[in-house]
Amino acid sequence: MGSRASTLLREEEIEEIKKETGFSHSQITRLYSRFTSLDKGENGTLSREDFQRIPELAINPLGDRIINAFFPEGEDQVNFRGFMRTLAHFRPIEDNEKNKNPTASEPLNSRSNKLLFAFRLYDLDRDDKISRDELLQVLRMMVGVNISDEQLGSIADRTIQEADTNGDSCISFQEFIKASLVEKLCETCF
Amino acid sequence: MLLLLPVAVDLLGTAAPQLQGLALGTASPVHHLLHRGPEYGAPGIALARSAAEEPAGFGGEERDAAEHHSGGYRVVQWEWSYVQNPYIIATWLLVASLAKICKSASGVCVCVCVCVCVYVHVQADLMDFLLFGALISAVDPVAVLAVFEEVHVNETLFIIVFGESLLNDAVTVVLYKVYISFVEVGAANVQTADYFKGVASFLIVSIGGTLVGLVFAVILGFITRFTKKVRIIEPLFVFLLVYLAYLTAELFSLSAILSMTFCGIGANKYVEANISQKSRTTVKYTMKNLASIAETIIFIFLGISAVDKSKWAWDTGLVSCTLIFIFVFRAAGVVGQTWLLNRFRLVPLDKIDQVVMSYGGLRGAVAFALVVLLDGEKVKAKDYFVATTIVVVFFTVMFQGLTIKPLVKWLKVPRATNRKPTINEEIHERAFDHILTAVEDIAGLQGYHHWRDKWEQFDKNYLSKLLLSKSKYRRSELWEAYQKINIRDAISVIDQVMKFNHLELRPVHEVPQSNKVTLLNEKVRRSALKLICVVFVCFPLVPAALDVCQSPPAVPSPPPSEDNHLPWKAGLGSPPPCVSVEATKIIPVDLQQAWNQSISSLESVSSPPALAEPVHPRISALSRLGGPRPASYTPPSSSTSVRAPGPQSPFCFLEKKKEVQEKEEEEEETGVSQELQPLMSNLRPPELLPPHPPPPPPPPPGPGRRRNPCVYLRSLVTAPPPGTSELHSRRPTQL
Repeated sequence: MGSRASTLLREEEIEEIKKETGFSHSQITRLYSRFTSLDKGENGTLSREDFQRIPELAINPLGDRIINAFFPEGEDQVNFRGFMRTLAHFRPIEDNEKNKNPTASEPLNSRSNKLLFAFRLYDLDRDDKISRDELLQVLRMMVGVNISDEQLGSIADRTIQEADTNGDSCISFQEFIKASLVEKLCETCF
Repeated sequence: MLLLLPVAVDLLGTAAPQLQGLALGTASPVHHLLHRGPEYGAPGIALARSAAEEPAGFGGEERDAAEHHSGGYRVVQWEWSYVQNPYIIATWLLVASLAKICKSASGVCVCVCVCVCVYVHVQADLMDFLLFGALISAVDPVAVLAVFEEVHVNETLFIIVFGESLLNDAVTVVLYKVYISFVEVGAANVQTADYFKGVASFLIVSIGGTLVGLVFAVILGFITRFTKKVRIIEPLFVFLLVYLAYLTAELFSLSAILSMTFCGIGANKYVEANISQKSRTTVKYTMKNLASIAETIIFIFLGISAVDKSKWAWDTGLVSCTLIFIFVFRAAGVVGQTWLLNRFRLVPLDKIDQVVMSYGGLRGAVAFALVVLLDGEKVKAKDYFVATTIVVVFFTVMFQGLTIKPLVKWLKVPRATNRKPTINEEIHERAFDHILTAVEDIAGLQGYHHWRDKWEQFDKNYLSKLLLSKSKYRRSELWEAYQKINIRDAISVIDQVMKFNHLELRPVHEVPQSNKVTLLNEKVRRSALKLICVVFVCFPLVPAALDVCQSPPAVPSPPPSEDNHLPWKAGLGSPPPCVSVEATKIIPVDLQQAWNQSISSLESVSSPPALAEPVHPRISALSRLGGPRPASYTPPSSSTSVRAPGPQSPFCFLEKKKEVQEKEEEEEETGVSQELQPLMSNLRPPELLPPHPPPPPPPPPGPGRRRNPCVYLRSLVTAPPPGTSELHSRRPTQL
């Protein structure tokens, strides 16, 4: 257990992560043990293969994109801090947090940050717009093989036309938020 | 609501003597209340009284009839004894249903309250009271459904209260049976083992009933997988199997209501996919009618018993205590359980929800049926219980039922949202589900999304393969949702267009056969609606043409410009050449494909023979026109040739409308439906014939130039679209 001991979580780290992400002590320790169980190479970081080893993720249509979301730009490894930072987006919003610290920066799990996370899953090239092609890709992943390309294209067109308000035939983040109660969905899902 | 029918039948069977009562006065107001809220019909009561007099009148006639039975053959006889029972029942039902119509006549609350205050102390011991408590605390699904359907609270709240009422059938019936057996044995002889047996029997009854229901659900789903050729008896399968689920559960003395409920819940997805649209409609409306009948019968019965003084005895103490306690303890129970539940819920139930939940616990016919079925010998206090139950039922239904609507408004309970589904929501909802499932898997949590995803995988890989017919199995949910949205928009577009055009059609054509024109307009409208609805699923481009039609130069055009966000309306933008080129390339080939798709996906066309009917006139029309079909349509395999001319008709319809409005267009139609032909022949001669060659000898439809849909579309598109001022230079949605 020698090499494992060096990767054990120190109290100061737990405190820092707690402050940054808002998870509780027990949640952090539990997630840390999950992190180590995924980390087959035992080097304190996760690579893409580690994620892909999770069986349920393989059959998830958006699995690859979500894995990518964990890795910062251009990197191949993610450490525990990064892991927690991404997971913090999905912590449920608690009411008492809203009044705590109005001057602090927005918590990671705020509604708009959650939506931004989802938006970035669609928007691969990070131009802050979901173009028709990006939407087509996501649709194709979600829908499988039963639908032809033309049908998918018409769905994509309809989607963009419903959401698009400024006529650039792309969905911006604001339009994404407004598009029919996406915010409401966010409340119940996350 | 099939629930109530067996109960009603049971009630009628066991309580037949009580049907002799004639006082319908109280039944009508109760029924009013139940279904229509705060309005009463005083006329309804008058109707009730007159109906009550009829049977008495008929009884007298019978005697006269009996005197005539000497002598030979009677041509017409008075057969009252044959029809007496069903006649009376049917008349009652009719009166009660008429009372529902008369509810609009607002009147004063006429409540026939018989208050006989007899201070007699109730003689009953603990077991009897436990029994009474078991049956009075059950929330009644009928009452809840009737009241909440008026109120339209949000779905979560409705499901909680209604689900509780359904599921507590198990609790009520089990407890009732357990306590009845305790009462019969005598309180002194009950051993501790019996209490445990009671708990065990509760578990067995409820879980057993559920399993029976699920077994029948699987059977039903499997059967409906193969009913493609026998569409007409599909509703029969549904009714029979659900009823069998009920009877089987009764056979093993399990919870029958739970069995039926879970049969319905389990089979819903597969049966709904497998059976035709018409069968769905049949099942839905038959059930609603049966439910209406059952509710009416039960509450009439309740009303009669209330007035029949021999059946009950009044005790003020018992009644008032019961009323207070049921309210207090229900509130306490709700609060306590909500506190427990909220630790596990994603969206906690707040105070307002709890208030509605405790206030919405209406007692109804089940409690009454159970109390009436008590054995008067074993339970000495039966009459007092009956009276109390009647009062409780009346009070909860009337008072709580009436006041729940204002209460809901006052508390600002979130109401059921009727928002139109949009394709954005569909897509993002699915995407979010996937995201959350993935996050749960990564974090190693086995939360709600994890299990739901596991269930969906299981369903996709095993259940759906077993229970869904092959064609339905391959459907994609997203595509189905998209098509539903399209159809809904198409229907609203058509309605607006028809509304607009209907006003214009008549003044424009002052022909002698104006009556015929209006009649034909109606037929045209209906057939057009049918056609267009079918066709709009796969022809997004056609509504673009419709948009052009809609704004004729001759008439000031109010095309609803707020619809410009609809894809097809927005699509007809600046570059017509772009549209026409692609349209001519794509439309002819894809008409076939799209038509096939629409046929396979739309439920309204149930079988090939049915399909053949509306299409045949057009084939014959086309063949009458003679000449070459458009090259894209390869003739004969019989099914495809049946389908091929179909797409022509919407073009014909559009063409007709356009001509009728504009009159100077040189459009022509190819095949026309039979309904359209006479109209064409009426209208054509004066205005439109001169520019065209004379029609071919075979009867009507118009001029001889065969129209290629490609050519037609091109001409439509190049015609200037006056009403549209689109900024989008987006190409329209392709097929």
